[in-house]
Amino acid sequence: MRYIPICLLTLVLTACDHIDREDRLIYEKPVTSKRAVLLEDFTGQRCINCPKGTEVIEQLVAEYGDTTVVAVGIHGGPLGFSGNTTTLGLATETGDEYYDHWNLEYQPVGLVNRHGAVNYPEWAAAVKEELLKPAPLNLRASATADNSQALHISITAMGTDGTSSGKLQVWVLEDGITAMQMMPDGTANADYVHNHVFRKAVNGTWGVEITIKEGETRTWEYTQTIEPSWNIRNLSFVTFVYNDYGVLQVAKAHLR
Amino acid sequence: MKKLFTLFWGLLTVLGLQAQSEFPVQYADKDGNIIEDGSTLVLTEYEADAFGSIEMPTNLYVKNMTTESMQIGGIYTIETLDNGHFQTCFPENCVAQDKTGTYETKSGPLGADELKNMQTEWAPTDNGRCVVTYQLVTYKQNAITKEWSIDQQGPTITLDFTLTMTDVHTAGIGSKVVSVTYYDLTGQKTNRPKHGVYLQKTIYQDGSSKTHKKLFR
Repeated sequence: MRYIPICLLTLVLTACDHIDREDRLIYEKPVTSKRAVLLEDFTGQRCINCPKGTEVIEQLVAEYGDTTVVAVGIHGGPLGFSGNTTTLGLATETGDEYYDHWNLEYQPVGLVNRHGAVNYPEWAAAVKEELLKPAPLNLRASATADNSQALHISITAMGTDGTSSGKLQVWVLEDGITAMQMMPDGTANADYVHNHVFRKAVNGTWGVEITIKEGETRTWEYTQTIEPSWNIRNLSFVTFVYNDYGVLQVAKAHLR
Repeated sequence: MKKLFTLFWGLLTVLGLQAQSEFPVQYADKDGNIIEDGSTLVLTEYEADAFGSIEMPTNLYVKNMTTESMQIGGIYTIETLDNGHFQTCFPENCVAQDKTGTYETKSGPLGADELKNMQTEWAPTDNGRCVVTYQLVTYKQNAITKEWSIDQQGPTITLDFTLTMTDVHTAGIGSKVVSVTYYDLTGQKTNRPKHGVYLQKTIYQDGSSKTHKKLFR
């Protein structure tokens, strides 16, 4: 019994000793950020039902916010329009390449975190399902413009769950583009406002290979020339990491 | 959409022998008049669309003959396609095909008593012909997987498009070309035509010239 006070005193005196993070027995996982979902809307100005897909996107963005449901309108495919001397076209060669790569057969059609083609009436259910999944990494994007009309884009990724391998992709989007659009009633609307329009793949059509370990933070810097047709005030940036199993995480940022 | 030429309305040739009058969805015109199963629509009218290209609409509708919503779609076979693409925005999505073959649309709902424009057309790039047989189908949903599959096959219609642009000129034959100039449909001169219909003005060494429409895609 006479040793009990000594033991208690020893415990009290040693309980607050500093232990280095590396020496701790209990590992603390990095904090995981909220999962965001990439919704690639394959659309076209000649596609009369495509505005219906846009309506679904607007509802999803109103419900979750544009940084949680990251929508990208990719103009291309057989119903895309690349423009002529009198009419502005929004289709790009890159958009056509994406449409062909995913073997898409109709429009509007979407990829929700790149898990295969999803018809627009099913986008909401697919987005909800994806939002429930954990994200193995955190992504942040920021962008500034300088006087030379170049964009400087910074991407930071942090692994939060195991080792993540895939490709990092960075896209430029533009909102508020007024351009011709065929409407569901068959009429042509020259004053249609197109939002979240895919403009450019900053780091190549398919991005760059990356691997991030849990707890590791990496940063990538890109410079992108601002093209004459872009309205700098309406630009935003989407970055995501994807592999054969889908999109691991996505982030969106507006130009500061 | 501005109409370029009015040649004549498509001639409706009724060839149907076996009407599927009991089928819950039927082909119809814009007023809801039923078009018999097996009919052939001969289509020669064309328009300039909002993008400066040519389109040949069918103005074909589908009518739900019941008081219940149906899940419907179509199976179509492109038998002849000389150029351009055949496009159908029915019932919920748009598809454009540039090769012959048999295709199935995605399924979609058709409301009770609804009359729906099929928004189906040929978008030619030159004179020629496009022949498509189009069959309506209904779908049923698997109670477990929730996936839709074809339930019944309904009436068939044949769409027979022929584009004959008549403004072919013979000026300058045998004479050397001096210059070729392109103008868009607003009359604006352009050096590099992209998509759409343009006026091509060719001036020959003998002083003659000819102007004709040319499609760029």
